[in-house]
Amino acid sequence: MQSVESPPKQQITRPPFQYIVIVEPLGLLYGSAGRFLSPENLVGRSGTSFPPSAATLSGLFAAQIEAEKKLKTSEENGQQKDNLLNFLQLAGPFWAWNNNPQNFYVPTPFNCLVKQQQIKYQIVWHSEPKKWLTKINGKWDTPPNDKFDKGTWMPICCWQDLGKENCAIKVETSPWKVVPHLHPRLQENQRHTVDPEDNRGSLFLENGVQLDPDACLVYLSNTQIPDGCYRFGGEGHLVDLSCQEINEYLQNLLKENVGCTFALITPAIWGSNRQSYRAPEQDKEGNLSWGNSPVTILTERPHPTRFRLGKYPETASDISTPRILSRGRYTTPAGTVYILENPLPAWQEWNEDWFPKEGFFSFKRWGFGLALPLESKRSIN
Amino acid sequence: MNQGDPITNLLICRDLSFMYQKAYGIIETLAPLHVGASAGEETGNLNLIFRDQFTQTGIIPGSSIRGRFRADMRFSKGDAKQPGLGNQLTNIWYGHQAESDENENVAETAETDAANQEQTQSKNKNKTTEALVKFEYASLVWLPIFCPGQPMVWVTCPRLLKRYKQITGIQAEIPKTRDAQNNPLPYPVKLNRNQNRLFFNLGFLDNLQPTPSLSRWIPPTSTLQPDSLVVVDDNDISIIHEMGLYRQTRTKLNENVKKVENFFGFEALPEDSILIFPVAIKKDMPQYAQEKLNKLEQEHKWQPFSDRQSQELYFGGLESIGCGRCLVTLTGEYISTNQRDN
Repeated sequence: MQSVESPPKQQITRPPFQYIVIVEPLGLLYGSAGRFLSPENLVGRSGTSFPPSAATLSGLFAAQIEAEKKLKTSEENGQQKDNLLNFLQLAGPFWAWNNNPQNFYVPTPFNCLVKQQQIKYQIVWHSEPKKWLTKINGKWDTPPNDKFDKGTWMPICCWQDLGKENCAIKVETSPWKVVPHLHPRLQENQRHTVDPEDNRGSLFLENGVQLDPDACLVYLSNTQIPDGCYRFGGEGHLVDLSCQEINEYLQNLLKENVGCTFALITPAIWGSNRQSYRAPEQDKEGNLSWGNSPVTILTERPHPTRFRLGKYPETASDISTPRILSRGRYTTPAGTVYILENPLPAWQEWNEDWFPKEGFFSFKRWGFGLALPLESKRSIN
Repeated sequence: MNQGDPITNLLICRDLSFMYQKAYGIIETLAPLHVGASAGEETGNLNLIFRDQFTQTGIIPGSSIRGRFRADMRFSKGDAKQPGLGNQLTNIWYGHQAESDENENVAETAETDAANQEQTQSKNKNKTTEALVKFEYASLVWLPIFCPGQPMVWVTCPRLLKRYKQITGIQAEIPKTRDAQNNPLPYPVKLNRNQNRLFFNLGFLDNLQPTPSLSRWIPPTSTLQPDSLVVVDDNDISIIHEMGLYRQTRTKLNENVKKVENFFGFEALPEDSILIFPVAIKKDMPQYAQEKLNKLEQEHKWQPFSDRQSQELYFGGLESIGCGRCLVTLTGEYISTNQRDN
């Protein structure tokens, strides 16, 4: 075991996103089935999670770049690979129909109210009378009291149509189905499940996920790895992975300043190791590090999340033993809309210090809180 | 967001690349094949088969395929000179289980007492290793359907062919049943007489489009008749699949009187179905596995059928009543490069 040098302490500038990473499963994928249910802990399916976060892909990239580094004999190349890892930046998850991966789907912002797979109303913050209102028959009014669809995705190529009058953007629901799958463990010498007295039990229930054959998962990356077949996201499931340069439209969209009104297309983690916030960390006076307080945030319940960034277990053997889970944090869900006093630059320009750190890693590396601009706030004329 | 995602691990250089070499297996059923759905999906006393969520056609889960390969390697390798070799190879190729399923010191097995056993178990704790070979589920490529006057046609749909294309990497264009505007097109067929209508037990297909290139979608190793092929729409495959399944009702008789005590029905994929499953083999074999294989004087190649390309294997259940016999052929990039090396 040898340790890798820590990234330099000064502010690092990560190259912007250049590639989309297309993940096409060869079979099923693993979806976390959520937390353990017991009478004392009735969390239902709240902890379920699919698709895998950008951090999962980060592990894959890191392992691959490390492996390539070992193969390079020249020092210069090794150095280059080192840099690749220090400056790695990913974001996701998104998905796309595989005939057009550049037009991937991102979580619909929460200010869009969806009915029958169409954005029916878009609510806009009005500083007077401090309300979210929508335009109905040419007049600003409170949105109808109705149930709207949650958990939808909208195509990125329609992002700039948001906020236009009468734009009926068609949204999609998640293109995957959950496949609970029992794997009974059989005895060695006969095809019969093992004895229940055996301390391991005979049944293992996998919460598999089957992606629509016409869909693929998509992530953003600033680094390329060779196309090929990789293990991805748990339970040893396999995927075909390929990288494609992002098109001009996407590059420009990601370069745009997010302004005062923006929506997250990936979950965000703000705060310190001890506390999670809905915006970058506060100092003692309560000022946020992004220089102004949110006027308002349109969000939903935060999701707890943890990574394997803890120590190695004491019993770790030398072969790819996973680390233990590190401290849990809360993520602000993708789709959250922020309204700020003063405009912000594009996400790529956001200060690395705003993002929490864990170990050597800044959470900017995993594309947390990737934001795209929405139209500017208004007040009633 | 996921609890316990595998995540960046840079503080330690590990023996770990995620790259895999690809191969695939073609399964031809020589008997009805019943791989049961998970408990809870059974309806009363009808034992259903495991199905794909999008086409509703039968599949064999990857874990069933792996289990069969595991068991076969355990029993087929080794002889008097090398007892226990099968167990050790199984653990290297298909992963060491979370608990001892071998006793590395086979000579001692006869005298293992409880204390010894405990020792072995604690020695093997935390010794799980990752499989070097991974399998994903097998999906149908061609399903035989009885068809009056034909008498058999093999049916598939674009979705099933899409997976076949992804796994094999063939360059043919997937036959279409719909145009770009999603309007239905005549179904592509390859039949020995230029028929443009096919009758089934529950209906018919007409306005068929002869498409000679369909034979490109038959796996090269297969003995499928190349003049009885039909491609139907993704939405039609599930109903045709229901027609084509092999179903049987089985009765249990009273022990003393010839009277039915109870009965159950099961369904199975019919014989002569063709399925495909992907296999992936770790590109860089980890150090520990290389050392173990050297110690056992074994090849560093995954060759479950030794020097043959095909072998009969049993999958699924109800073997006692004649289900599950299949011919499995392994091919693809990894297998063919290995053959060249030999």
